[in-house]
Amino acid sequence: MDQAAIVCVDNLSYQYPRAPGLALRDINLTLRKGEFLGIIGPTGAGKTTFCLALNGIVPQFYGGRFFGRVTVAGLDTLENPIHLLAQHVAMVFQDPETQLIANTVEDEVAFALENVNAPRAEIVRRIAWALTTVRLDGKEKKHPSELSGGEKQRLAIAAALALQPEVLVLDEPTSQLDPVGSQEVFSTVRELNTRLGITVILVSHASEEMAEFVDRVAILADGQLVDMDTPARIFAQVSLLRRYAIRPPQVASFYAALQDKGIAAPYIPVTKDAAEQVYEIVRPLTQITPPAWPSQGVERAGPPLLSMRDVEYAYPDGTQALRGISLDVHAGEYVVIVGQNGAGKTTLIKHFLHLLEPESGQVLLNGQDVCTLPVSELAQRIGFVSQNPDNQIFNTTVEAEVAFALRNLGLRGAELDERVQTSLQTLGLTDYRKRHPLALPKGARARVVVAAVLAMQPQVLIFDEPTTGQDYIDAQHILDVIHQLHQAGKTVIVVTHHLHLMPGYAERVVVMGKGVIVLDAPIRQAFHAVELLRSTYLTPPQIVQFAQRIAAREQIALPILTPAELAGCIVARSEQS
Amino acid sequence: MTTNNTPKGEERKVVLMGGAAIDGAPIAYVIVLAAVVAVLSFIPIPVSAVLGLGGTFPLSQAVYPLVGFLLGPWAGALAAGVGRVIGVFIAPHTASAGLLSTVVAVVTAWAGGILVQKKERAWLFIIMWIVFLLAFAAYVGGGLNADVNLSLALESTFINWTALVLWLLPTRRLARSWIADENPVKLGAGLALGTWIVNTSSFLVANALFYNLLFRWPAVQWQALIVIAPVEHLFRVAVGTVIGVGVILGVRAIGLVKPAKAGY
Repeated sequence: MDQAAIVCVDNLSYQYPRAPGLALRDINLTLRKGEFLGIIGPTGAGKTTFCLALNGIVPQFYGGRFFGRVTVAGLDTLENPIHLLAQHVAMVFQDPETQLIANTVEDEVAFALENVNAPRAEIVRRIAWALTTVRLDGKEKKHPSELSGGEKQRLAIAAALALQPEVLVLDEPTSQLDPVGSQEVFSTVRELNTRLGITVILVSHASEEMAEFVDRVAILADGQLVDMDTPARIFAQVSLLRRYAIRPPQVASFYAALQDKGIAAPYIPVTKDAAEQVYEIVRPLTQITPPAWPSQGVERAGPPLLSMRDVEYAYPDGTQALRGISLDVHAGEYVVIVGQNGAGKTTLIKHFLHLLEPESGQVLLNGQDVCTLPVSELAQRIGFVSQNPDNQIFNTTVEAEVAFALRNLGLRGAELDERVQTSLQTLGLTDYRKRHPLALPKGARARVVVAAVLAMQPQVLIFDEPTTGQDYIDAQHILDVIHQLHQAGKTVIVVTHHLHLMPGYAERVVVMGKGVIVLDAPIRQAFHAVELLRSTYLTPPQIVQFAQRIAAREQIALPILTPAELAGCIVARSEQS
Repeated sequence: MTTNNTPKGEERKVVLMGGAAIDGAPIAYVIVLAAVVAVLSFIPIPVSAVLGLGGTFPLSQAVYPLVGFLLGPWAGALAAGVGRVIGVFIAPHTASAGLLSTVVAVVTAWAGGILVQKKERAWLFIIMWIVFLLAFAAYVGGGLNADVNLSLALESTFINWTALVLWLLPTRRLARSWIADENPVKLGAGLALGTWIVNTSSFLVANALFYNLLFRWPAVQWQALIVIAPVEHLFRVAVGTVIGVGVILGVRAIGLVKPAKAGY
């Protein structure tokens, strides 16, 4: 083993018990102390299994067949127990709820430190530091169950950070965070890496942040290490990334699109700053000809389908979640609700479902107060897919899951079978109909819940973070399905942080911040309200920020939404002359 | 794996050192199932006229055998016992027999775990069967010393002593193999049969303790139990089977690590 190496993976292969094939195959890599490695790959690539192999959970907890050797901080992960390895390797799991066990936020951060017998003063100091780092200061006494999804993820990160371990493994630590929160986690982890020399292994789909912060990127696919190199080289291979269902950084996609048009850049940049430098090089060769932008939004006539009037709501602990919210959603609209973690997005949609009642104000469905409607009737008219679809799965087959609500509505025989079949086909689940839903990959489980909701043929569909944890292809598939439902006349509301996925789908964006609606505008206008978005801890997609810099440079308006749109605005100068 | 798929690395011996475990069941599983037992203690099932104990029994009684099937005898007994103790305090409305009901939980889960063990643990089965036989003798003996004649005692405990016989017959192995079967119908049948055998035999311990230490119910009550006791146990079997099928299919589907002595 290289003396400076802290992680050595030597021909690692692994097969889970009762699994037909290998989850990991012949992986070789070495990490030097203080290195920051990013791991990317499609769903099912083996990323989580690889992370679990670094602290011995694979295979010591799962069993199965293990080949090769993994050594971390000089310890063989098969010959040393997990509790010993855990003192050297801290891990933040994909689902933070699986690792929150204490009754208060500060107790959660203190737990690991208590177990390693850290002095009390040091524990107090590290709690304050860790919580400030992840922006949870002020919430020390809160119960973790009272935190939003993103806040829980930050708490799990804080608990791991507090240990200041030699190796920090984070498995999709930002999937539930708002964009600014995601950026902060990356920069905090980078700071730990550079200042304290902690070796970091981070799994993420956030290509833009990975390109900016990590030293090396490893692509995992089908359990194998496909490639590993600097971000500049990996993320520039746009075709390769797309082949493995990995979304390239948007600036890389933009320059790849320019290349396809015959406008060759000296290299494909992968960060915003590099993209600007390259733009200075290609600028003399090109000209910007922005098209006439389509009209913004569609004026909807008639009364709204869903309506909120001056709704106020505070949680029992006093947190004011909604302050004077007024919002109309007309039939057939596709509305995206965005905002920082804890802005009140999920609280708002729970009011539509009558899962919460406003302290003042009204919530109306087709002019009727939802508080006067039984939840069963609301559930037929408004379909809801929650942030964690596993919470909505409880039958033993996919078919039974989809049919469950229909049977309760009294449907039987041919009509029931037809509705189930249609729903399964729409979501591409026909092959899975007899399988147990929990045995399916995460993306498929989310589709099961959508199918079950869709079978009810509701007027309105509400999706809470439908693309969280999905790879690029699965996220696109879910959004395509939602788009089809919208095209078929459904009213759609999507709550999301993933602004970069929304162009081409959503028409209207509602931006929330600290319980109020700060902006309600067509998507093109909303995405370019950069300062307002930043005030709510949101950042527009990378390509929007890049386009704004070009626009400022060229003194023109460039309200583009996607790399393809920006590339479409640029032509080679020879075309113009 | 075929030759051209053979991994390049040397295969290593995997030793499960995954943290604290009791008889091969991770502590976390014991805690989770103890919590389940505690929570189910809240739910009173109004299918009991037994012994005048308030007319209900807690739903947790339906899952004691399942806890044993899932964790094995010792971890299962611990989980059920801890859960029941907590249940007595947080749900006193279903704890007419107080902490004494913990004995039922412990013995039933223990027996459930023993049912699903293979030949190498035959000694556990022998000890358990002797315990149940002694409980039967204590219960019937107590009745004979009071106003119960032998014929009535044997009729009233028909489901109990026949369960002792079922333990000795191939029915035990049948229940064990069906519980381990992938087919949901066989799984359900195995859970039903196993829950019946375990409950009807382990409740001998409850009967012996309650009759000799708490209540000396008269002969007329022994008479009533001929019908009531099978009905109660059938209800426990039905509930335990429904819950058990869902739980076992679910843990298999998500690939949860199976405790070393589990029977599913």
